[in-house]
Amino acid sequence: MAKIVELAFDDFYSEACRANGVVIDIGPFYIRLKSNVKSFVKLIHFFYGSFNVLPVESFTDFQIEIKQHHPLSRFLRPQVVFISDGIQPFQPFPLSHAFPLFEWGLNWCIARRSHQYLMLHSGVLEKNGRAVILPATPGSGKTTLCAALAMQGWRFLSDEFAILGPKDDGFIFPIPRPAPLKNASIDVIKNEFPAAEIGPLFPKTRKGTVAHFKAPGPSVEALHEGVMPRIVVFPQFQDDVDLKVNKLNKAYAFFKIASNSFNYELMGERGFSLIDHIISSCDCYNLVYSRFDQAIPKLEELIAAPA
Amino acid sequence: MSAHSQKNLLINIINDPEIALALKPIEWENLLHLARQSKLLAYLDWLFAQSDLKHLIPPAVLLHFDAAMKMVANRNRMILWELNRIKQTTFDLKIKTIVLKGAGYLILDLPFAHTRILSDLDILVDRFDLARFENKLKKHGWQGVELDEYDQQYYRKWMHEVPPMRHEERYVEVDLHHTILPLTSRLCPPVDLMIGDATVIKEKGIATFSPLDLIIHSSVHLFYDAEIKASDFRDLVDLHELIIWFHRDNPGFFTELVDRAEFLNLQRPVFYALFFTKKILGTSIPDQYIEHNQGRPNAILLAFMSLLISVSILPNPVGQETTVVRFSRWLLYVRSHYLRMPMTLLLPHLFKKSKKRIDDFF
Repeated sequence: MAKIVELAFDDFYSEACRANGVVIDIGPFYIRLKSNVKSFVKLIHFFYGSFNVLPVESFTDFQIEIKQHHPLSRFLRPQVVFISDGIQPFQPFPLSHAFPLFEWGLNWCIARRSHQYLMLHSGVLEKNGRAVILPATPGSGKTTLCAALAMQGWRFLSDEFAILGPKDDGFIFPIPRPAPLKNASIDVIKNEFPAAEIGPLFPKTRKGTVAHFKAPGPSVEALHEGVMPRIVVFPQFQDDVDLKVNKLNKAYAFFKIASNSFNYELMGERGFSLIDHIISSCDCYNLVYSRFDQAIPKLEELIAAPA
Repeated sequence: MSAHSQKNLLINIINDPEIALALKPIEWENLLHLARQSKLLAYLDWLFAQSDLKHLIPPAVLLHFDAAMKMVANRNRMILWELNRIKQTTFDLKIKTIVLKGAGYLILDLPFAHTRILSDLDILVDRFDLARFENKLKKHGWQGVELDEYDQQYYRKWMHEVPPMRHEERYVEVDLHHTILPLTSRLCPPVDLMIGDATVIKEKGIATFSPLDLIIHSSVHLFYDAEIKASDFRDLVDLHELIIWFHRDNPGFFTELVDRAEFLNLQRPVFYALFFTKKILGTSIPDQYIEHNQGRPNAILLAFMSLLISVSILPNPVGQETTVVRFSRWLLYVRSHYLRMPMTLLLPHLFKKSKKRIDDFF
């Protein structure tokens, strides 16, 4: 087993071009990735540098190919397609946007069939063995807050998925893939945390301009270490407000979390019991914030409070 | 592993689940891919459980089975709820309501039915009850999908079902049938005899076809209603499981089946069902019911169909279909149209459809 970054790029690229591609361990899943799009494989080599490559004959959960849409299109308007399970679920993207296409497609694959896990649409970070779940609502600033916490020494488990199971014990498992910062938040993170590793800008995506925040190395080192959640915080970014925190009653929070899940209903009884674990071990809050220097100390205080 | 044995991996496992124990990790990956194409992932899980092999299967594979079972359970729960709502709405009409195909197997609690994901709900009522039944549903929130005048006509005049309906608050498509094949098709099954034999399941207030007719309907559906694609492999597995299940406690089963087929004048589809389940899935069927079957076509036609169907129905790794596979599927597609409508209807229909497509384009 070797980290991707330890492989010379040319070797990694020629592996990725082969019929069986490269196998990458992203935590709860192994993915088989095949691609001959060099600029894209270069970004995989960068963003997934701290992840391990496994032997090509391993069993994988998802098989993904990113390839040029049509051989001729390379001369006119180069485009790439995402293929998984022989299906091409999305329209072609411009070649330059191959990486966001891959990230988006992988999210789609995971959300659509990984029902061995309860999946919440949430960011997850850990401090001293306790996790915070940050459920997303559009524009809540979840990704920005995740990146900021990760830069302040929290372990980054995920920006997109809180993954619980397959055991019925309430542990959350990491999937520390790159986090897509959008529009103004890109500069916010760059200015506040010059050490943050942020990839190239992808203008004019569905969500405006996107740039990915790379999970810090130590977060990826602990790829298979689950953690119990201690707080659930529904963040809401607003301009120029004082920090506001209010505690939610548990019955209300239960349904708020369930409706944030990709597959609560589909999971049936197991979904109920997993959210019950969260509700039992966590205090739940709404948090309205404008500034990291207010929000982060508050989160540290909330997560450290005795259960 | 050679390309040939890879292609047959799924079939070999269904025939003999124990060979799975020798699979290498990447072969498991291929198997799951093939099973997923034919919507047989949950079925495999059940098959391994039946053979008491689950504890020997790699944990990473079991997670996929677990996920597939949850999807099936959830979907089927939705479909059964839809059926429950329909029953509640139409209860006072006292119309014999027959649940077809997968939902029927589920109502009968056939073990393999719990591994079979349902896409929509198919029900059948006698054509004299159809208007009352449909109107009642329409009055209580079920709406027909939007169709243009021609398509409406197409359904009403020629098809075996009314245009699909969906309740305004839910997402399950309901297909209401009055017979089992298009009115225009070459075979003309006496559906009233099948309705007559359908048995009402007391505690559910819903009927299913009799065991023999379940198999006959499934055969007609697979071999006489549409083209044959890799996803139809599951229908062949259905036939395999239905035959095993109903034969188990009934030594006279095969004789009754071919007699019933003769009575309904549906010998050919039933012959194909027996022939292909045995040929492809090794279903244990005594040779005499295949050799001396009245529905058996002449040797040339049989050799031809045997080749076409065997090639077309096997799940292929996606994107790796050979020209032979594509050509066979195309021939069966042409056959399906030939069976569905006489040329005097088919040609104007295809003309209208392509004209519409051209008009939409401009």
